Amino acid sequence: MQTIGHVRQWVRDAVHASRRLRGEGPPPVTSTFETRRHAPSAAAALVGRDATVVAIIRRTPDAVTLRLSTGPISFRAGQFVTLAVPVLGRVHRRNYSVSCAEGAVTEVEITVKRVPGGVVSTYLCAHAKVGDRFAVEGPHGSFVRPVGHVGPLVLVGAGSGVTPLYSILLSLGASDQEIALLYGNRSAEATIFRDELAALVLTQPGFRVLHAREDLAADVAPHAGGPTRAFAGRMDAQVLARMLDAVPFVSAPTALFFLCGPAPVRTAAREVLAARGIPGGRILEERYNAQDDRTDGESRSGIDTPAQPVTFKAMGGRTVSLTLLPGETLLAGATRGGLAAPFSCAMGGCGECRMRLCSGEVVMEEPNCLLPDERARGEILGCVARPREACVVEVRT
Amino acid sequence: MIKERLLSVLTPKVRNQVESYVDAAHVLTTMKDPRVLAALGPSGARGLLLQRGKQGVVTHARASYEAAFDWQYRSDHATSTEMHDLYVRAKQGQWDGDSLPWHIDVDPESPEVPVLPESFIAPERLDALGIHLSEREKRQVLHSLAAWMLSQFLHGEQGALFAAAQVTASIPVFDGKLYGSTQVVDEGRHVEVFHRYLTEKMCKLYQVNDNLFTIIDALMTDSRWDMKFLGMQIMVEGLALGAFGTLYRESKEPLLRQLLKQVILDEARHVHYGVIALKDHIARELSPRERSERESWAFEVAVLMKNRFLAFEVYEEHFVGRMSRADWTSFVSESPGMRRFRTVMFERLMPNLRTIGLLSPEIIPHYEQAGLLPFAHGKSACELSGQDMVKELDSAA
Repeated sequence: MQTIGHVRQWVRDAVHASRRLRGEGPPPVTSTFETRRHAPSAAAALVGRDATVVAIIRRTPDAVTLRLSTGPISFRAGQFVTLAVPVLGRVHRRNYSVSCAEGAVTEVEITVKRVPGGVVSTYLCAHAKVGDRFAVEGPHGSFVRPVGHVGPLVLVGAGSGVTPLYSILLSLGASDQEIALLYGNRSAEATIFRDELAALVLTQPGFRVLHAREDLAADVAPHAGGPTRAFAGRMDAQVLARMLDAVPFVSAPTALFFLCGPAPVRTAAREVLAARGIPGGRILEERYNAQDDRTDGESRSGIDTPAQPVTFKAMGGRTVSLTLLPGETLLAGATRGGLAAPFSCAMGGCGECRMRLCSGEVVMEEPNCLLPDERARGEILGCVARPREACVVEVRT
Repeated sequence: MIKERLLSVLTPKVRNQVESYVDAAHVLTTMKDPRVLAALGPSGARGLLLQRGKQGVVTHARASYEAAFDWQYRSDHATSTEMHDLYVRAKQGQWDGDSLPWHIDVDPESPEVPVLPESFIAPERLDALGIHLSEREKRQVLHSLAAWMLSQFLHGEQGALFAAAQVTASIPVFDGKLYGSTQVVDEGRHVEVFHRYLTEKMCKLYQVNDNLFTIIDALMTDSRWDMKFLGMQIMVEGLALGAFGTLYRESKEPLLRQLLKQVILDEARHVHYGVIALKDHIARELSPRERSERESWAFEVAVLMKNRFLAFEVYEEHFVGRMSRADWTSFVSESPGMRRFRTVMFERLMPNLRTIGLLSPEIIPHYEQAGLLPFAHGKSACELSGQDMVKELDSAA
């Protein structure tokens, strides 16, 4: 066999050499790939793929799941995609967590809850129909279980904040992984995935659900010590503390905590976990939901700032000074200046592009996901910040 | 003169192929040490003359080496913790290729955010040869050159992946095996990210350069573990650090810069590994004759790396018939970017050769003649971390 291999190789060598001597050398380029659409600036770089709505599943009176046919796409449970949704002649961009099991797929599901006054969520919940097409970009985000993590999971979410957590649950499959979902809602009717979670409890031996419900007058104990119970009240620090008390593995040194939902719930959860001595490194937080509170949905281009000189100070002592164009964001400017400023959603929703303002004044699109203590430290979000005057900014690169 | 007259009757394409044969013969006949010629010659024949890497089929290289099993799992902690520390650092330094900001859209021909700036090749120097490139042609050539460099990085990383697996099996020190396992993962990740960048962003993949193939083939087929180490960990990784560092410094494209920064941090560990493993081995285990053979081998490979990575594949794509191969050689080797590349590469490489004991008084005149000696006085991998390297590159940018 080996001799045959050698002979074949020698024949290939001879054919190759004779071609070369006839001027037919091998092509220098072995492969070219389909040309992509190109956009030079960071903000404009988020070019989407086309996705078509192939199914709509109503979850609650206020929430729907849209199944989107995207073509091949690979994502991790907990990640989100960005949808460009045309409503009344304007295109609005919103981030939605994928709410189906992770993997390499051709369809993804997102679950949208209507925000009172929210242009996009109202449109998607009330008017989206099978066959609608949207540009989808992503997946993005690092709200994912670290590769190789072994240990219990405690998922804390409220309202539509459950969507990435549900994806995490589905992605575990039928396993005896110890996992608790602490889930806050106004009422049973407003609970997204209520029936699906009840079914998961039956198939996943290590899984338990703890509801916090505002419409309950008193706690509901589990049936015969079962894995589902409900606590009365809004999911604030007090209720969360009681819920955590009911999770036996909450103090396990390998437990990981995932927080997603409205800012007050996440803040309360952080406080309660800090009080229990859980180190911040074991807490993952998804913050992008803040953008859905933004009801006008069009502030991206609505802020006119004049051209301003900006100095970017990067790590390693590198400094780049340039004049930002009228209306240009700090992130776009830093990228234009050649700095590898990190960013993800480019719409004030993920916090990845945090910079520190050393001097000068900026105007930021509000609301955004910047936390109060980050604001207090002088941090800003480069993707939605534009300079009002000459600024000096520190950039993480 | 006669040679020139003979070549002038050939068509440009045939002439290019004949000249490449002449080049190859020149490389092989100028090797001074017969032992080095015996070690590199067969690989040179396969790479330079037969172009086994460019025949459009899977290349099979026969690897022969001894795997060293240690059933006692002896550690050399007692005498040195350097290797163990490196293993710990490598474990902690792991990262996920998916975590890079892949959503950044890259225009490989963008003048605003150039992957490779015009100053890298200074194309106006072509005017002296009567070649005037339009703006579009300049951008295309820069795109090609960047894709060519990155393609060679990718091919080099494939070689490094296999070589790392080989040295992990053959190194006699158990701490070295543990560390080697992390390098295998590192190299796999590098293949992943370079391949993804080339296919998704540059949209182009070039053939493996014949000289690079020769070095990789020599490493794969040499049965001596320390030769594999010397070749891969010191020479090829040194070349990689030079190339990555130069591109990191020159490129304005934020995704590529982020990618290279991560890769450089890994590569710095790899070179350090080679230095730790070889310095005692060369000093204590090798006879003077064996040491001198390694010294000559390293010199020949250094010369090959200095003189031979000249993007002939880009010449074949754009310039055959427009300028001679010799003109291209001097155009590329004297370009500002290639000069900086050689400086960064040898600034890294020469101190390492000194530290492992392969810069004896016998070889120094050869390096002096090749113009490489001034680089020998910098810091070796033992004195320089990946962070230091990135910092140095940032401050030089």
